[in-house]
Amino acid sequence: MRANGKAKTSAPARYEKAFEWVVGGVAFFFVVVLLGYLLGLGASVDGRSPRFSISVENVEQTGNVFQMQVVVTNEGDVTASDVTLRGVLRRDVGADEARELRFDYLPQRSQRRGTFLFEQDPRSGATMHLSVTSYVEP
Amino acid sequence: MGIVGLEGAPSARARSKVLRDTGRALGGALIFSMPMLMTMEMWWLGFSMDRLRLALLLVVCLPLLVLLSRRIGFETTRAWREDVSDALFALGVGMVTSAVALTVFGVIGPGMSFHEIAGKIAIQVVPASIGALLARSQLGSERRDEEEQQEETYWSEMFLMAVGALFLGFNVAPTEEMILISYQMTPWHAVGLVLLSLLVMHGFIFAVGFRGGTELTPQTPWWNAFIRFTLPGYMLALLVSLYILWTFGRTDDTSLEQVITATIVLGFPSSAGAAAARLIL
Repeated sequence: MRANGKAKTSAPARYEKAFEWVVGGVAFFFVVVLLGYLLGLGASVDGRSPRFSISVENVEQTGNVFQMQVVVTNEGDVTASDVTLRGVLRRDVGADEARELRFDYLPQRSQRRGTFLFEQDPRSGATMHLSVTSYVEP
Repeated sequence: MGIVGLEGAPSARARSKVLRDTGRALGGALIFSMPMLMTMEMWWLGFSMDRLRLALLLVVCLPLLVLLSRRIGFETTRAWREDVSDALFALGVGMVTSAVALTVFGVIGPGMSFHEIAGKIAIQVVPASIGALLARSQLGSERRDEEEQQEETYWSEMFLMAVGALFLGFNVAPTEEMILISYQMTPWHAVGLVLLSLLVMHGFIFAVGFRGGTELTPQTPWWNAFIRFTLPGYMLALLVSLYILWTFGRTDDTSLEQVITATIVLGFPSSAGAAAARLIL
């Protein structure tokens, strides 16, 4: 693709030529490693269906609502979509508060964050029930 | 352009040249950024994406435009100062084009924060300003012959490939489909896509390489060009794809294998863009 000039035989041109092969060698190594990684992954992954772990990141009071940030991790080998997360705050006295969160996508072995808004403090005098109620395979 | 301003009172001919150049730049910016101006994910990214990454994108864009202007541009430029002024002009044209189009679409308007409006325009500036710079080579053809004779170095070839990858990658990267495709793929699909990308790329490079007195001839063994151009070009396309995905926040909280698969998916259009850069740019 380079113009075939007269300078081709000069020393700098020879260096440049050698350099092109070095770059090519690095790229070759890069692609081989990439393919090796993918093949290794293909051999080791057995298509475990999505499984979720949920943890509470933090609770913050803003005005008279409590924002509870949660992290959901998909530990399976398959991406889940339309993941519905349900959080129920059960109080010793008074009515329960139930909230829902929906994640468009939760890729395999990846995390997504979301926030529930409660009227009462989920940290005191209450039990928190968090569960994934449904998902769809994209 | 600044050149005319330096001459003192511009003649009517010079003035019409400025108008023509500006018109071309506006047209180029519009044609190249139209798909992105009309993509809703691009509007959302305008207010949701990380401000530092957006700033970095603009910072990266400027030297890219200067180098691109050195290679192709509004004028056959010689001095770096002119290339910088051309690049800034393209950046300005890109901003104006994006601002006008987004206003007419009702995407930006009163009641929105400065943060939102600035972000929505800023993210469109990259494709629009590249379009403005490329306008001459696309819409004006008078200096084509001269360009063909310009000697290509390996570096400038790689640079053009990177711009081609960035441009085509930028076109499709913001869409939801890009990551959705990667979610549907298994590692085996990814291996297939890597091989397909390399095949398509090599086809382009070989086909384009044969045009007019270049080093690649039908006698060149296929692996020679494959190792020196196709493989480095593909590596470049993947790195550019990864950078775009990171910029758009697609790599956050995502597993390594998912990032790699998404990069390979985006690498498909990017590598085609890189290989066809000579045709597009």
